[in-house]
Amino acid sequence: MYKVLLLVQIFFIWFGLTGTVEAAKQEHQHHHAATVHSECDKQDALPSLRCANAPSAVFDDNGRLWVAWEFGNHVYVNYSDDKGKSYSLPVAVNTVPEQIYAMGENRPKIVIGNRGRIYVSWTQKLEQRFSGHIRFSYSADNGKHFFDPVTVNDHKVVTSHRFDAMAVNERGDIYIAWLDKRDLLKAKKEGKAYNGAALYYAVSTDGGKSFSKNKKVIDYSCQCCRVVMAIDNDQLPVIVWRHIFGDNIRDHALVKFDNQTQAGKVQRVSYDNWQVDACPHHGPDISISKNGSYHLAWFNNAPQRHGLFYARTDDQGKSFSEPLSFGNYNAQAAHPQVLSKGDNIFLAWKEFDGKQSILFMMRSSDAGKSWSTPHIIAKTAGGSDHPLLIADNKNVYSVWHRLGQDYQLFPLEGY
Amino acid sequence: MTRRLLLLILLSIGFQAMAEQPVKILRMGSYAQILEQHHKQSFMLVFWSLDCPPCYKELAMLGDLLTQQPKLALVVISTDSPDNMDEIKTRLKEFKLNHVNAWVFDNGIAQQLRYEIDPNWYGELPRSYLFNARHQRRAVTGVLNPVALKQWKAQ
Repeated sequence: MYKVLLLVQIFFIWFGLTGTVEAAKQEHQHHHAATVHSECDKQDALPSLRCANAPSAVFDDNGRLWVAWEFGNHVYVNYSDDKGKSYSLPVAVNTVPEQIYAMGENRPKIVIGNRGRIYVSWTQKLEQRFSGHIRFSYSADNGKHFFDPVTVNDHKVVTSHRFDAMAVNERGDIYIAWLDKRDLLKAKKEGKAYNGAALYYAVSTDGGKSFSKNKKVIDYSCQCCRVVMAIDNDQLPVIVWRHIFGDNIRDHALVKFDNQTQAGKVQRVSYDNWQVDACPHHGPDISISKNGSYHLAWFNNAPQRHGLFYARTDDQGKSFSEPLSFGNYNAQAAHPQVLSKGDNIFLAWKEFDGKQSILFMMRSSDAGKSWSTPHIIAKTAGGSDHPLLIADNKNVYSVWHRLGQDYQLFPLEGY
Repeated sequence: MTRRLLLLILLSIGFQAMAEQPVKILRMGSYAQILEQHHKQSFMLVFWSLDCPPCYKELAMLGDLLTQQPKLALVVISTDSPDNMDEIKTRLKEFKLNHVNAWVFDNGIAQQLRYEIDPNWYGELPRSYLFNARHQRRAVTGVLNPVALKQWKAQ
């Protein structure tokens, strides 16, 4: 009898172990695949743009390309004078390492100002789940050195202050907006319901030396989509984000500032009526043209209206053109970007054919009234970031970060 | 004696079912494997991630549901990466889901995996698929509500 019991015991020990062995085997295989996959996984990999996470790029007035990116708990900035063929040595913005959100929807931002000023913002990741602080630093000597970063949110409790957006106007006023859960925290304490986060902002009118008291634009924003900001021709900022309207309808909203320090009335942008208690991780984009039109692109996934959309407003968000649907919904068309240069409007987005990610673009030469057919710009079989659109004085480019590959510019003028 | 042996075996099986399961790595083809595991069986396939606040509501609800109905066939898949393994295990334990069939997306192929499972899923979370025994499925974005669950179980 004891023999039988022993056998039963051996059987169960074996049975219990197989699961663990299988998991260990998988972990080993994974580790092996990862080391072969890329030089970026090496323990001693040096900070490089190739191995960075989620870079942001922008041109200065002299056509120099500036890039901000995260690597190993530092934000780095470097530049290229030959349109991305070669890059300068990176300069660390934060000298003291801190955890940094560096992903498609929440990446370090970079803006180039006048007189050698370079502004950088990012979200510091804190230990508690979903928590973060909005961080800011700048250089006054054309990127040679950066001042110690400061925390912009004046509510310092460990909760979610994340998804920073930054814009700087010609006067050098610095605007930073983000999604903030201080009101959710307060509501929870009072036993009240609160859905989503709130949109907050701060302004610096002294070139980044100090920031204003934080102000709230509105309660109940969606929690995990990027926020975008652009400067209008009157030098006042416009912010666009995914908002929660009514009962979990996650459409987009826009706010234009009334004056240097005060956000105005919130306008609803999209009416796709995507009702969902979920995180789309899929924020909008805005570009303001010289004539004052706002060009917007976004994604929604409502059963009746879904995919990528483009719309234009000529009256600062009071009314919009009929949204144009673009991209192939059955090929995961995602992460739209929009850029206007005079009457030329460019859209870029990403699709997936089952094997490869594909960077697409299309353009309008009449301020968004009619559009070219979509063109394929690049493909990759590996992981890739959202595509971005940038412009120098002459040309428009798409940049698309693909892990372990050169950070390359794709000129779009020929299309 | 035989009865005591039988009891011991049954207890051991019960213990095995409740024991902590490893979190497996979801690669191309793993989805077909999951379907095969549930051949002619209705089951729930639930996607979540560490950085998705509503997912925690969903996991808490599923943990409670499973306590009430231990026979429910549930597969949970984190769309994070194997690098987050420790935190994933901690969360599953927190929501009493450490004994369910659990997976995590392999590194760098999230899009490929999503496409294999459903080309019309854009990564919004939580995302669930309610399968009937014929493996017809219903996709639900957002936290599963009791009505959807009831309809599915009534099938």
